[in-house]
Amino acid sequence: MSGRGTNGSDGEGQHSRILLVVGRALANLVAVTLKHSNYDTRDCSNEADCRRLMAEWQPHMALVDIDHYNSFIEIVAGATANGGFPIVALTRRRDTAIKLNAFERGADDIIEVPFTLDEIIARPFALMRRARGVNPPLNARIRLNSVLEVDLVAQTVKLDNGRALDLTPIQQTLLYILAANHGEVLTRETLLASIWGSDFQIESNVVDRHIRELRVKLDDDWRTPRYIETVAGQGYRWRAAESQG
Amino acid sequence: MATRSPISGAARVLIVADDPLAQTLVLTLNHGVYVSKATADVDEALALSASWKPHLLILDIDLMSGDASALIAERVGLRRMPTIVLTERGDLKTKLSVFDKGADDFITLPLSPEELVARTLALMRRTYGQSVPFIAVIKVGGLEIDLLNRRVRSGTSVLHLTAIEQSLLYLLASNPGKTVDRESILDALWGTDYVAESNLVDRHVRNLRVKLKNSWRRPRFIATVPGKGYRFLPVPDA
Repeated sequence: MSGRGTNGSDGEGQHSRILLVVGRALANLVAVTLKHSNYDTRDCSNEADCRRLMAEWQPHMALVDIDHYNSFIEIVAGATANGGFPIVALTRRRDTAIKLNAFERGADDIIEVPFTLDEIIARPFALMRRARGVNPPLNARIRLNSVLEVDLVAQTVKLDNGRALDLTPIQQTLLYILAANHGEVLTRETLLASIWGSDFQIESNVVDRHIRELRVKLDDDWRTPRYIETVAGQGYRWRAAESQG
Repeated sequence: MATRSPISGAARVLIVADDPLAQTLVLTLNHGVYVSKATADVDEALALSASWKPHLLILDIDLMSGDASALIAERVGLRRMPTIVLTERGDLKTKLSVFDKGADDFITLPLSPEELVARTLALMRRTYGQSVPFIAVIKVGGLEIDLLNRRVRSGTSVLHLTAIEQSLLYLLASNPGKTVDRESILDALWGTDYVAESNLVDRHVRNLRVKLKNSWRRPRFIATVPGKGYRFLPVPDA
């Protein structure tokens, strides 16, 4: 835990590589969120891909959704020769046995769904420093889909017209996951499982309610949406950025 | 990471937090083999870290009086104390600065007992290279609480609790005989940011009582203190 940047550093300005063993929608959310720091990400959800990426791409850390890919902890942990490969587990279950088991099998940290976006930055940050002596930088402000400027520290979003919005943590997460999957329809179930977690007891319309609130803040009309489209009978879709810069 | 020499006997945990949270932490740590001391006074904590030489430090950086963040990773002899930081402020700035100061882990309040137990065990193993035994079932005030299965046994009846009910029970049971007001309960279980309906606490207390088969007129475990809050009545161990 001594000298930072001394052992196996990725070097100044170099990106660290994080492998995401997570379903696609959630992986995109995590990948976009990690743009607040200097990381490259790849995702995989089958064994062969994960093994190949571990061998060829040689990530510095992995994030594993243990509710769906529990056995992949061994795959990523066993892929490096000397062990001690940093792993963050992700779970929706508030269950002591599952957490203890993950820690025992080599997870270094756990992020619970529902999470706030800053967990996705802060826990890998701490783990990178602890395990590798690397201090990942923080970019509080990034652009999402070229039309939105988001600030994770101030928790604000600026539209392309310069107007600033104040979002609650859950609205911010919802915005990120929609924008991170732009052009794709996200079903209510996917949004529920990715943002709220399945153990959560919620009313059936919780997704719709939060979408409505987010639209109000974005000043987005559901009939002629600029950002969030309703796809009837399916879910929601972030309109891919078109001409605007 | 170099591990340290193993601990013989129970690991010493210094808790720096206000009540009722501090007492809840002490109770929850009974799920492992620890001896804990709690204080809400920063100077006293400093004195204890020098004289008592804790193996682990758990501190709330939102203390009512005093700034506990100076204690993060405080040295005992030549070693820094493994530190878990608690806070209600779940924002990125706070988290990064806490890790910067040398904290090993971080728990955002409201507290869930299983998260504290899991993170504490993981940190102890990481630091000392040995596992602190995990004790799934603890006894408190005539109840047997099973954290692993989220089950409570009272006499012959066994009941299942939701996560919130479990946290509520730990909070009340860890402060036996003391009135815990609605504000404190709301604060401890939902956090100050949460905008709750006015009867949220009462509703959950009612559910918990139903499960504990506890009539509010002749309370066995949870008594109502009119105009104030609730109080846990311990049942003397038979």
